[in-house]
Amino acid sequence: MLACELNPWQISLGSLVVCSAPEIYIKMAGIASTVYNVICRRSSTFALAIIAGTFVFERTFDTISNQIFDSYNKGKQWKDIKHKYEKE
Amino acid sequence: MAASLGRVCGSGLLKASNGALFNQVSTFSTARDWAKGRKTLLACLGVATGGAGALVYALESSVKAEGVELHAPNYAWDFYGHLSSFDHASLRRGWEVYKNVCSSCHSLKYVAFRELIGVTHTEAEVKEMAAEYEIKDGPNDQGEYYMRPGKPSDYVPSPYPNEEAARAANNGAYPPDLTYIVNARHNGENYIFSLLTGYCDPPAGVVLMDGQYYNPYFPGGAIGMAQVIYDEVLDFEDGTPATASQVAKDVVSFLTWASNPEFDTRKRWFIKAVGIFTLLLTVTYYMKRHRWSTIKSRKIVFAPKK
Ligand code: HEC
Repeated sequence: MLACELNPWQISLGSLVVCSAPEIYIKMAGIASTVYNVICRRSSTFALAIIAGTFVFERTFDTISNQIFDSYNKGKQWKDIKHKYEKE
Repeated sequence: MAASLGRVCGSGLLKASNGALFNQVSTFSTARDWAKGRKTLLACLGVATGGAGALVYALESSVKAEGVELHAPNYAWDFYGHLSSFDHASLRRGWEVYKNVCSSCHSLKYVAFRELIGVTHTEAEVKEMAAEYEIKDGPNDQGEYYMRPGKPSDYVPSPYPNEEAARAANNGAYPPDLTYIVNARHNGENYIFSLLTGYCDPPAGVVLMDGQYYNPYFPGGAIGMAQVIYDEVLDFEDGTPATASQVAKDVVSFLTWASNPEFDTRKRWFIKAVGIFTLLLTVTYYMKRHRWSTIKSRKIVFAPKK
């Protein structure tokens, strides 16, 4: 039998009781809290982090995708055969 | 009590019952009060109409063998596949074929020499190649047109000054510009490959006019272009044996590039697009789960008043 005194996370809708799970807070520790404190607390550092992050992400992402393409098409592309036609 | 009830029935009580829905919908029907005879008659009519339609369709498609031209098979091109680039050695040979064979009749007027740089030739080679052509330029400060050696920025010169001249030289048939021909024909690369290699003797009863040749892949069969590709029709500079199919494959690869010069870049971007969208999808999915977690983990129970 459910008790009728409502707990703080329960909402009464007449005879229906809606129980929400209490919110769970994850305690940040170590790196996460350092990152939060150093970067996210100030808009200037946060914006800077976004710009730098974009740059780093873009460079790595492009390099990886280009490497996939180049190794898949090894020997077929112009850069693979041009040494045969370039005169010094 | 409510808890134990919930345990016995599971969430079945909360689910919408489709059976009830169905009953409800069937009361919407206007055919409910019809007499049995009327219903039967209408059902028979419906079946008869459907059957007649199916019969007509079957008869129609059984005689679909109309037309005498062949449809080109699909070949295993090395640039097929989501990630495959062109084979640039093949493109280079294809340019050789265009230049030595096709260019006496077909123009390639939307390709500039400079576009070959980094695709089939080096810059030095392209400069040399362009300079072999005489290009009409002008007017100069006397108001006259003059000829000068070609530059990489020039477009590939056409064999005929205009369409009329081209027709006059080819029995009235117009050799189309080849730049976008691959995109301009159904199943472009396969069709052109089959066309180039598919010449044969006309079957009995097919009469060809002067200057016409029989090609089963060409709509109508009678084409104004003679067979131009044979074994050893040219020597490739890189020593590849010039069999007819090799020559045709290379020139068609080259023409596919001419029609789709962005091809390799597109393939490269395909990888990037798949990568980015996979990341975005993962993030979106995570966010969705995260947002819904509070709603999904709450519970509604029935608690009767004492
Ligand atoms: C002797 C001149 C001549 C040469 C050389 C020549 N063609 Fe043609 N080509 C023609 C003519 C003329 C037509 C038009 C045929 C017609 O419409 O009946 C044509 C038509 C075509 C067509 C269009 C067919 C269609 O579906 O409308 C293609 C593609 C083609 N040629 C490709 C080539 C290629 C590739 C080469 C080089 C390997 C080449 N041709 C060499 C004269 C030539």
